[in-house]
This record gives sequence, structure tokens and C-alpha cells, in this order.
Amino acid sequence: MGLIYTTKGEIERSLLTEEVEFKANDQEYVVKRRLYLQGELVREDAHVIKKPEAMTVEAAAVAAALA
Amino acid sequence: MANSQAMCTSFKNELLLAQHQFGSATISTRGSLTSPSADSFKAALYVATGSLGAGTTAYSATNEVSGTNYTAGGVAVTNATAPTTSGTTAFWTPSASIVYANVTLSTAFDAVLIYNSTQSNRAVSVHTFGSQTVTAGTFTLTMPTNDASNALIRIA
Repeated sequence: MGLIYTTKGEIERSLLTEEVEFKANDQEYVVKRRLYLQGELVREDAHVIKKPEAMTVEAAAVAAALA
Repeated sequence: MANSQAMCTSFKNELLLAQHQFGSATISTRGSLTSPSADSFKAALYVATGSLGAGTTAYSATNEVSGTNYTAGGVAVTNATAPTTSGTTAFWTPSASIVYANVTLSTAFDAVLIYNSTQSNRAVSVHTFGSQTVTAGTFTLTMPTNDASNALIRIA
């Protein structure tokens, strides 16, 4: 399966146990992947997928201020 | 037909393109005044105890994460798609995910600052997420769909 970067250097992927955690809240989806070598955590990835957020400048408010 | 008060949609887009200047401001050269190049933007991560927000004016290393394979200042933001408009909204989104590869970030972090590294590291926006740590792994921020409803930065 190839080598993967870990806290112990590059290790053959097939030697590692994988744990995947999925979380969702109002802001984002998060996928955490943890890889263990004989029970020891040797790699932890995080993948955040942002949901749309209030990052807008409201034109109406600006227009009101200029009126 | 009546006139109606509004901020012009084209103006919102032109703000993102720096095509207006209402006051004097010093900017770094963009190579040409008649055909300027786009600025470069970067993304830096900040620990959960930081205080970034609307008052943030520029990149600072204070409360920035540190760890193996993380370079202070963060990573370059891929910007292959210029701002555009749809309806009355102008919007822009980085054209690729923001990726920090093979990093170890042991102190919990929960924010990314997008800033203009060409223009004196001026702040653009702060985006928060659930507190994270990464161990010898990759942290990826996937960008939303670049449209009027979902884009990372929208001027509505």
C-alpha cells in the first residue's frame, strides 16, 4: 500500500490501524483520521469543510449610512 | 419607473479588485498602474486562545500556531479565479483547498487568517472552526462553492 509519513518516519501503510471520526456542527464538517502503530498514535489528519458563513458586507447598511 | 437607492453591484466587485480609492493609501507596487497583477494572499493558523476577529488589521505571529513543518506566516492561497458577481452579490473564494502537509500542531487551533502578503500583510478575513490538533498529518480546509450564496467572501 506504500509508505506514509508518521511520527516515527515513513511507515508501511498496511502496518497501521485506521480510525476515522466524522463531526458536523453549524460551522463545518470535520473528518479526523488517526493512524495507530501497535496502539500508539503516529498520525492524525484533520479535514475541515466550511459551511457558508456570514462573511458579508451588507450593502443595505452602507446605503442607509450614506442616505 | 423610479430610481432606487443601492450600492452598485459592479462597485462591490470593483472593491475586491481594488479599482476604487476613496482616500490616500500607500500600496505596494503591482507592477503597472494600467495593467496591475493580482496580489498574493496567504493563510495562517491561530491557536484557540488567540483573539483574532473583526478588529484584526494585519498578519501577526502572536498566537500563531507553531510546530513541525509549519512555517510562520502560513501557506499561499491559490487564487486562480478573480472576484465576480451574481445578482447583487460580489464574491470570491480561493480556487483550491488550503493545505498544511505533514505538520504537527499540538496546541489546539481554531482559526485561519486570510491576508494580503503583497500589501503589507493586511488582513482580509478570519474564519473559525472547531478546535483541532494534528499529529504528523495534514490539515486541510476545503473551500465552499464559489457562488453568491456560499463563497468565502461575499459582498451582498
